[in-house]
Amino acid sequence: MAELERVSTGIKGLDDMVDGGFPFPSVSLVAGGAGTGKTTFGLSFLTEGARQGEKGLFFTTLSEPTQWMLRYTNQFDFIDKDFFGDEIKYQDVGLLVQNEGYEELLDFIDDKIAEVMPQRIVIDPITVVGPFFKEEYRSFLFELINLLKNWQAVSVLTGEVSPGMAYPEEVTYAVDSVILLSMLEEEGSRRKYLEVLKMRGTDHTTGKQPISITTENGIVVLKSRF
Amino acid sequence: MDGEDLKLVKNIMEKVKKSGDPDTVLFDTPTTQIAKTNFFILKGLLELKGKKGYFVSLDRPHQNMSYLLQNHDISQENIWYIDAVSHMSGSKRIGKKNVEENVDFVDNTFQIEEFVEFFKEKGVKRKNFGSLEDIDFILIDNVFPILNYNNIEKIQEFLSSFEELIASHENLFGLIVMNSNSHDNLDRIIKRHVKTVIDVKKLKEDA
Ligand SMILES: Nc1ncnc2c1ncn2[C@@H]1O[C@H](COP(=O)(O)OP(=O)(O)OP(=O)(O)O)[C@@H](O)[C@H]1O
Ligand SMILES: [Mg+2]
Repeated sequence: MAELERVSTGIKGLDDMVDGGFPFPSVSLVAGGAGTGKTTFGLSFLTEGARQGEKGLFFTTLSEPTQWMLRYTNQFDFIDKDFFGDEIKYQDVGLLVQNEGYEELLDFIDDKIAEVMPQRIVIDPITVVGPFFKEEYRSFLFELINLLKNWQAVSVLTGEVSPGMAYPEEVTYAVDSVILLSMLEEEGSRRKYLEVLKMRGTDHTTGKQPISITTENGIVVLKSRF
Repeated sequence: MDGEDLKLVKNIMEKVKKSGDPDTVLFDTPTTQIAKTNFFILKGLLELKGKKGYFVSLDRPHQNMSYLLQNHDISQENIWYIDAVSHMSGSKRIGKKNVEENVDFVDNTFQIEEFVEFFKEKGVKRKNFGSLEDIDFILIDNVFPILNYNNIEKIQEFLSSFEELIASHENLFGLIVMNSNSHDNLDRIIKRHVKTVIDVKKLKEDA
């Protein structure tokens, strides 16, 4: 049997939970509520690649100017600013999402990938596209995921989870793996967790694992308290 | 492509030349870099060297490479694709990226031992492109995925006949890409059938 090749996730403690990393190539969903660490996850993932000489491409769907996003990333010590612009390219597709059809968006993403030739790709967040493409959303996701896999890259899509919702269903079925980030109210404080919901071809740890987000290391999976 | 990439392309071409008589060459590269390595080899062969050849896709649909070359303004006049994966990829979109008609689709991915016969056949469509006598190289994008469809005996059979084919055509280079760490057994077998091994990662560090 041919073993799956894997790449490190860039999240401390996560590789050990998933047989060494994300399968290559694959498309993963990292989903969670507001402020649970989705963007931080995506940045750690690309930074890890850059350290290993891999090119990264970060698409934001939020129309967020580069300098804003860089201002946040500057807060983190683990992200080397010098990576941005060279090893990691940042691309805003917010206006395309709002004004164009899904074919145009796919063509643009395809062109950008051909230009940069990245080994790691992040789209943050993918779920904002849903309301714009409505009944075409599922077809869009299917084509997007196929496109990403054919490029031989490891991709992370982030997904917003609104209160009362478990996870973004449409995306969950289409991707190879799903990681949920959550925040729970406990003993008067909020604690953050990470859970591997599924990962194809992988014997992964199940259940919510506590995490912390720190300036030095970004997201870190803590040793279980039990 | 940046300056470092271009230097790597030049270094790769330098190595292919130095290996002497046309023969079979294995490009050993990390799995994450396989697609890019293929692109670099083709850029060097088609653009820098003005060579002509077949590109065999076993790993990903040929449209990706075609699209990549187009995106980087590399002429595809001298490349012919033999695509053995598209029939399994299931994407509707992929057909739209068929920029030129320079392709044979192959659906016997599970009979790898028949491939060499296929290279020899002068396909009807290839009439205007030329046969094995008129081309300079056959590049196989990645041999590792064959393991998903064929057992090691069939792969061995394929490699022997591929080696023979290359040896019997003076003009022809056989180029194979793979990450040698992916599969020890396959790696050992392949190395028995190639004359030259090029460590792309090391070349990159030198670039
Ligand atoms: N420098 C830092 N040090 C420690 N924790 C931080 C730091 N920066 C961010 N955080 C924590 O990480 C959270 C935000 O992470 P991030 O922006 O990645 O979340 P998100 O899920 O992308 O949020 P959004 O829903 O806004 O997109 C913050 O709410 C905060 O708790
Ligand atoms: Mg965010």
